[in-house]
Amino acid sequence: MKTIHPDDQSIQQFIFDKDHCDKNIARHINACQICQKMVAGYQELSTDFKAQEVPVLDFNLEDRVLRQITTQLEREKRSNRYFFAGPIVFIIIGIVAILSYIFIGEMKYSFGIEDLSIGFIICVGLLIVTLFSMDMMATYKSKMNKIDFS
Amino acid sequence: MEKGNSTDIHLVEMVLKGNTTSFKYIIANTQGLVIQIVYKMINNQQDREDLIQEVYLKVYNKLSSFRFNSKLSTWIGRIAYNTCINYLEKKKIPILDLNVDHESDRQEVINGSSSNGLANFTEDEIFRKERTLILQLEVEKLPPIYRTVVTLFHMEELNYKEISKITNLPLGTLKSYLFRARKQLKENILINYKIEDL
Ligand SMILES: [Zn+2]
Repeated sequence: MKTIHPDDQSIQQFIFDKDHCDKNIARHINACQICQKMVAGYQELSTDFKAQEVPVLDFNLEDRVLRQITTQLEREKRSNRYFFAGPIVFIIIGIVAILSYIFIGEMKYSFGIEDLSIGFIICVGLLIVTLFSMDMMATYKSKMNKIDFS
Repeated sequence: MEKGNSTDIHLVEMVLKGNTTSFKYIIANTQGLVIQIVYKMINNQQDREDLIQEVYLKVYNKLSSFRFNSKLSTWIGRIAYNTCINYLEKKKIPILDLNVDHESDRQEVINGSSSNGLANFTEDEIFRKERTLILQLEVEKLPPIYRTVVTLFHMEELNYKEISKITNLPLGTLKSYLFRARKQLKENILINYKIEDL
């Protein structure tokens, strides 16, 4: 009677996926010299794989990635600063406009200052307050970051 | 389900608190796997290096979304694999086409091996070295996905579940790819020996 040997897939399953290999097939393979030869061929292949050279990089990956992360964080910090600057300026302009509206008549009456001069004083004041606020925000953020990264 | 271990949890927490040095440890612990995946998926050396860095930038930016449903290395491996798939799709490079022939490459490596100082080795060592070279060559002939799964299984010694998570392939499909890859490798290596015996 002609012996039927398990197919290639079953041989591979016997070696690399034993838990799912049919018991009858496993029994046959263990007892059959022809199948054992097939098994040896695949085991040799597996051993040769382990002897393969592992690829390595010729630069320090950690340092390079960390440098990129630092650059990214700095860029985010800068954009955050401008993100806050817009609303701050807007709020200050609003406050100054309201105050000017309320006190402009009062100033004219008390100090006898011209409209143009009042406008000039308001603009300079506005500029100083804006720059001061931005500087405060930048100092605050840099202090927060120092705490995070120490 | 495999869960993230305590070292993974600690490292991720430290990075999320802003400790970038901990991210160095994560890179050191996982770069072997990432390099293997990228090198097996991508052929161009410059692109490989760029993609490896891109993978870690993605890991850093997505770290807060990691839920410890797997090992950290498996999650990072998956990001590496997906990054490579996106790259290959963008470049319209086939990822599953198994019948490719690279006869010229084969000749190149065989010629290269003869000038590789092999004369100093014993016969057994030459045989082993040659076999390793031929296998390396035959692996390179496989399509990217086959190359990757077979390397993750046999070189990185990952189990089916881990490879399935990295590649997002169902277990049955993964096992079938591995089966076909090994069969093709075994047959091609045999053909190589027959050619050399002539
Ligand atoms: Zn048999």
